[in-house]
Amino acid sequence: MTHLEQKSAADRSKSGVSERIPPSLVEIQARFRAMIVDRILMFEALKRAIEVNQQPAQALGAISDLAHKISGVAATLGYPHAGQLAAEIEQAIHDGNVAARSAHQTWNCIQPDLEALMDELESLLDE
Amino acid sequence: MKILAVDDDPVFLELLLEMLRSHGHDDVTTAGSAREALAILASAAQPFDCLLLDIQMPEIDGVQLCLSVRELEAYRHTPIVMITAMSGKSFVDDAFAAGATDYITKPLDRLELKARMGMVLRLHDERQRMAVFQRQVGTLSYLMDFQIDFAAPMVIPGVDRIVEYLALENYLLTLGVKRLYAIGAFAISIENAEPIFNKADSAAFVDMLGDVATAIADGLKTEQAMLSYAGGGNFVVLVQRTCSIDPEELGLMIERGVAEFEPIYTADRIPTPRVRIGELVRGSIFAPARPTRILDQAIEIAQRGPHGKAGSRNLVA
Repeated sequence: MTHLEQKSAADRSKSGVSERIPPSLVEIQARFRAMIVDRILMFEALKRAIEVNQQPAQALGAISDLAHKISGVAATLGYPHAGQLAAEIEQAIHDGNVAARSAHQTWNCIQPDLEALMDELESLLDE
Repeated sequence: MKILAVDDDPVFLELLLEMLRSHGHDDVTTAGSAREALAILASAAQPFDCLLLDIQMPEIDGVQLCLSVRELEAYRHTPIVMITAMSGKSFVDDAFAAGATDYITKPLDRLELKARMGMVLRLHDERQRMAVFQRQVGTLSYLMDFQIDFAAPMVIPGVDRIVEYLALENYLLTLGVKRLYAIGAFAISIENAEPIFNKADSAAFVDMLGDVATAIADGLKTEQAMLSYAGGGNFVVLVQRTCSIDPEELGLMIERGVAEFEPIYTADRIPTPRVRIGELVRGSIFAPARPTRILDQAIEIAQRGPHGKAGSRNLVA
């Protein structure tokens, strides 16, 4: 188990928790939540693409872009755990690119966190 | 203050807009891509006072956009704050090289944003003062009562290669220990800056600084260097630790460049500036606590001059 995997496993118990946000951000939070289902579906499609070896490097890039969008706003909108998981995925993909790892090596590294992020996003829908 | 914020994520832009509003910045325009931003800049009746650019954007990223913006005459010195996720920190270096003034990290932190925008506001006010100053110089120089602070850093009008001192400090603060070790700094001090300041009016003093800055920039043409004016008649240059600049040769080039303006100095009844180049101060992995210290030390060494040389050789940041 990598450090990333250990950390994510440890953090998983904190999932589904949102923090209070200023009233001025409530509308923006609602818009973020409205995008969650689409984002989970996109993650699922990209995950499948990597698993069947269909342009895995591009799929990883797209996962990174999506994670970047989530990590950029989730914490400020009261979802620090989702933000943290997304940031870790983004960072791991970036590190994989810098180290010239294969898409599948990087995928093995981020898969547990991506699953955790999708679970986390799903749990936010139940709030 | 008129602000342009650029990010490809509409939710982030809304968030940024809301936070800026809560800090009293109401005049904010947003763009979803670099292309849209460039179109907005091209068609703006009044130039923007500050740009906030996300680094990671598809097609044209924030660093490329920053470069393109700096090529526009009206935006040579406009504060540009880059926005980056933690994973994009490696691009911050490129952003500073492209002309960025500062950066903030995603996710946004209210206090961090407030502090950065406070800095931008100060720069903006300083630019307004300089704009007034330039207008006065251009029209009513004989009536000019514009006061400049001798000791304060300043953006010298008309010298493109010079970066704001604050941007240089911010750049150093972004460097990790390893990269800090790879750089060096030296200062170029105008020995007789204070007497010139006391004798000249503000316009003539700033013009003289511009002459020296241009001569330095010409002398550094072939080097990868960042040049800034630190105030008090001192310029600082950030270079690679292994740079091959010959201080004597550079000194001669600056002297030659400045000599061209001698008739003007004579007409203005001010002395011709004499420059002194300090020894290179190298970044140290043992003192990463205050990376900007290297700049203070470089200035101190240049000011100390030849008499202080022996004692300054072992000085490292």
